[in-house]
Amino acid sequence: MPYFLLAPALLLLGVLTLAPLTYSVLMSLFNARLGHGMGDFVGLANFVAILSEPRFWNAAVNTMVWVAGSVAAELCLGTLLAVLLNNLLFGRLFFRAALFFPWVVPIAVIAFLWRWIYNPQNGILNVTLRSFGIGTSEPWMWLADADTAMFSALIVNAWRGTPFVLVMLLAALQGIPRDEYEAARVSGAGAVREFWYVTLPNLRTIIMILMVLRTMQIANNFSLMWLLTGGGPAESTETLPILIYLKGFGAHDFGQASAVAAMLLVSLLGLAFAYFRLLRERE
Amino acid sequence: MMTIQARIWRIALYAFLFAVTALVLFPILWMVLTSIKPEREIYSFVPKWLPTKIDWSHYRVVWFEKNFWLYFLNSIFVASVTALVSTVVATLGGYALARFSFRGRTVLSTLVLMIYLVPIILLALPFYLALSAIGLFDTRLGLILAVSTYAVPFAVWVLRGFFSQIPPEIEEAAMVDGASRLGALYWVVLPVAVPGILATALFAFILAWDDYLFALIVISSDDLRTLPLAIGLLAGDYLVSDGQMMAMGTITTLPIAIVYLIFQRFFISGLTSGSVKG
Repeated sequence: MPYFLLAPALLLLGVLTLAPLTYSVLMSLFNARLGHGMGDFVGLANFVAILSEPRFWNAAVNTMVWVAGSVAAELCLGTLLAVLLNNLLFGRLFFRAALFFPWVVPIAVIAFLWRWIYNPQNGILNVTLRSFGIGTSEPWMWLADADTAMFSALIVNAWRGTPFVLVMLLAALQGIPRDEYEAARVSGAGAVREFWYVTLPNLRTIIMILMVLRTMQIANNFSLMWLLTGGGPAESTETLPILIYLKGFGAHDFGQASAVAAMLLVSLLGLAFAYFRLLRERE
Repeated sequence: MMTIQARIWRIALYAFLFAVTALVLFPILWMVLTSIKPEREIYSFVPKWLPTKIDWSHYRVVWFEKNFWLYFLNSIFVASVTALVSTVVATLGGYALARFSFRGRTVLSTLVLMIYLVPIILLALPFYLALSAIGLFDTRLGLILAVSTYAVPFAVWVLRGFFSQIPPEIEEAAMVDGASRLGALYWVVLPVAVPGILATALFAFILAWDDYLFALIVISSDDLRTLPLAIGLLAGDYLVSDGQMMAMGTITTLPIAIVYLIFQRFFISGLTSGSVKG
């Protein structure tokens, strides 16, 4: 009976996901090229070639900065806003609904919207800064400068991701038993101690879960960075998914592209296992 | 009665939250305002916040001349079919995972979430080859199949969460009264699970509506493009004005915004109870 109910889902997943996944991992062992089939078995040659390429390490570091920066920003801002919202007597649902909205805006829209805001010449950000007398002689370049592109992209990602984190944390806050706060108050704790000794310990698991979940989502995300910067300028925002895409569909080297993808998958699998242990701990 | 100090603190808190909300929503608001501004007001040196008169010309150009009516229909079709298929499949699968203990249940549950965590770009490479091989490259069906790779596991996972929150006693009672397992699922469990199922369908629709990567890889014909793909191709094109760009963005965001406004409480409670809690 359960197998019968699960059959359609398993069939779809097997055909659509597991088969391509296996094929992709296999391709990493061949010199597969787009339009020329699998080619010859080359063992680990693709991995050796990738690991000796500075461009791969650049993309790996960029991915780590992109993930760590975004997750840290989202968790800090999300926690702050969730605690503030949780203190409201009325209007909580209004703020929650309004602040969650960026999460549902399509990524393609987010990307060009922010590119337009960041436009050095007539973007609203620089226009506003100029009216305060900032950057009047030389416009700030934001996404167009290799030194500031990653930081500018991080802001966009935090803008998109914080709403999700905020809503999850707010739900967890509402599950904290009232009497824990009352006990803290009776023993004379102020707002800061209350946050430190009651709120944070209760949020520990959900924060860990969000950390792992968002890390995986951001590390895998191709579209936002691709549409924001295309990996540039000068590869300063080239993350691993973008490198995979460029190797596969740009250079037509499916073998090397699959090798990078396999390495990304393996590093994320480790995180996924951690995630499952956390979920079980919570149940 | 609140002390003066508490009252000031409260006012400051609300002022701060209003400021944050305004700042967060500003990009969206600015997009919508710009899309209805006459061209010369968009490029005026000192930015004009509100248009002096509402100008629909950007929408006319985008909708008819840039073919957005067609991309819009493509997006609606792909997202609706994906949502329908993944919700039906996931209702059965999620119920099985939540209710039965059977060999491989834990492995399967884990696998479902693992698949959701696989980098989409990793699937893109073999998908391109496989769809070309079976003649589904550059078709709507091919795109629907591709998007289902992450819509289905996500839907199964969310619905598994919903079904495990429904007490098993209700279908046990129905089965004692002579209903079959499928009969109990259909007559007793489904009516209770409607909010969860609807929320899942909405998630799947939004996921599919947002898809850019698979459309980029699977679709090559102009007349099969979805909205995100069309926007990605037109952004930075010097033939497209800023006003037209913002009209495209508003058209792409509007259906999601409407769905969100109508169902948002439902939607957020579905998100917080279903997807993260195991």
